[in-house]
Amino acid sequence: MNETVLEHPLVRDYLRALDSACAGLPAAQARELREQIAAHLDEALPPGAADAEVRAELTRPGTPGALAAEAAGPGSRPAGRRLLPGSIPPHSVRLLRVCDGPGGQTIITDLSLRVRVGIAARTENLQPGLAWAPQDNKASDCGQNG
Amino acid sequence: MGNDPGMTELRRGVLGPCVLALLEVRPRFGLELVRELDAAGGLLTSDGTVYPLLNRLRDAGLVTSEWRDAEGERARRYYFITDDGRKQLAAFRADWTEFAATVRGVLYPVGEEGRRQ
Repeated sequence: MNETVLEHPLVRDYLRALDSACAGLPAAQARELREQIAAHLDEALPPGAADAEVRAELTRPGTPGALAAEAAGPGSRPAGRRLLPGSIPPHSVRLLRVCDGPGGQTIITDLSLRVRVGIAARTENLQPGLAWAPQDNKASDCGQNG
Repeated sequence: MGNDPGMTELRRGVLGPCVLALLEVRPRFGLELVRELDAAGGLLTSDGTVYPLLNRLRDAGLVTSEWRDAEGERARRYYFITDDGRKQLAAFRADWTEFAATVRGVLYPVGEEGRRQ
């Protein structure tokens, strides 16, 4: 028997999905919501809860996506469209194309940002003086947030 | 209660004041609030929406939260209403009474056609 229901695989999956769904929120806000939902589930379910019981309870808070949208506030766009270079969710993949543009500029095209669903593409134009290097985390943030 | 978009918006609008009203009676922890709102009937679209709402009320200065560790019980985050929260709740009570009367008057007209059900 687990000491707390938070160790139940279904609960862990739910909280992991919540983390992914909240990746577009400010970190403190995402952390707070996760803490609240975890405490809620921990209190709502006994430590040795059966799968069926856990599954039934997990339908009650709402889907991770719906919770994240609620946290983002009314009128917010879906989480996937709010992503910025500095807030890439874990396990996502980015492909960058770097080439010389007109007037000595370096053009970095963000070919894809794969985030579970869909692909986003963006283009950055960097001045010649601003070197971009893969080892430098700040520079590889494409400038906007770094 | 129905789940059409209009009802969802109505719920969204009244849930904040309802949370403030529960906290006005006494401080409560998250699950306790959720259970009472559930028991009131039809106020919650889903249990989880209470938490982002609490955080918004806190950011607006209407609610504060604090961890409490009572002996023999688990540590819980309790939510408290602030003075601003009480003022906002009092204002909403007055608005709501007037608003509900207005809507009722339009929904159930009494006139030439006589009284409708």
